[in-house]
Amino acid sequence: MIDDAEVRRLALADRRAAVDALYRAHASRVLSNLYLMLRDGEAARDLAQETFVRAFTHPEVFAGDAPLRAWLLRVAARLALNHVREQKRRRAREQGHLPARGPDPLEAVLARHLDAELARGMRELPLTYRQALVLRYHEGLGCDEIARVLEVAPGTVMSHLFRARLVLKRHLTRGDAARPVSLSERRRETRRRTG
Amino acid sequence: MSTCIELREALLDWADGRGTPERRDAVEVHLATCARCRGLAEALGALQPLESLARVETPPAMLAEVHAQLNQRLDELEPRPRPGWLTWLFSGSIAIPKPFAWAAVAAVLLLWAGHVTGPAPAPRAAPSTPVLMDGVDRLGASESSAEG
Repeated sequence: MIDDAEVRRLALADRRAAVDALYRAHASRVLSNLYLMLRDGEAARDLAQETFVRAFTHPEVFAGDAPLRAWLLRVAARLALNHVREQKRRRAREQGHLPARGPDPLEAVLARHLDAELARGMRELPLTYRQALVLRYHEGLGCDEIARVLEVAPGTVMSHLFRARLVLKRHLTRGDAARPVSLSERRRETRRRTG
Repeated sequence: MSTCIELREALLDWADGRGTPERRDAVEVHLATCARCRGLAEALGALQPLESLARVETPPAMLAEVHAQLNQRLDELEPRPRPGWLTWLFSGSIAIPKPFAWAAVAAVLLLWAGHVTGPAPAPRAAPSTPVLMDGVDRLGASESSAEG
């Protein structure tokens, strides 16, 4: 995978080529992030495209030294939030009569990889909780990094993650996908995993 | 002794089975003395299905589709210049060895130089009397004959 320094060098000569390299390196994660956050394949595709268009129309991105992946994730998260707000407004305007969509090909990907109960439980979460979960468990970011991507305080991220987990746990326990684990069991499990 | 707030992220890592052994030990020492955090840890529990989130990947066909749409949008924003014949010669997309490509460039330059610095046109013979003055003279002559 091409690194940020290489993309920045490329951008000096040809910004379009730099965006292309950026797409090849990060598009897969940006798209799956957006899909997990929104559960709407069409919107995920449009917003992923828009994320990379922003990289092209904001050349200052290539001038700094901030990690490009974090910048892309931040733009994607902001676009997702705006999209959901806009959709809410539209739904209110049209009194809930949004056109029905056909089956989404990304849903099949989710069905293959994602625990079914978890996928259902995530639908119940507010977008901000879902974003924090996706960035932590799909993207593998720490709380500080998530805070920078979502442009909120680290404490807010922590609170989103705790609450999201509590909701999911309730959902999964109800669905019998996860059994309640006692503290002593949890300690034994942690020791077993880490040897 | 660490405070509850300081250990919040470590507690989350602990619940997910992540973090260094030292960090996990610190959490367990804290849990032994803090009933509030112990309650939180019990409530968080283990949520192994969350690990399945890391496995979700975008299908390559979808990536290619979005890539094509992105290129279309970027073309609208800033059309790419059409590659000139030099790019075509040296891009490597056609099988012309470099020496032949350079020879072609040299031939074109020679032809161009020949066209620019070709044989000079033959100098035109200067008329004995400047045409304008000739006309003026004739005009003067006709005026003087009219007076006479």
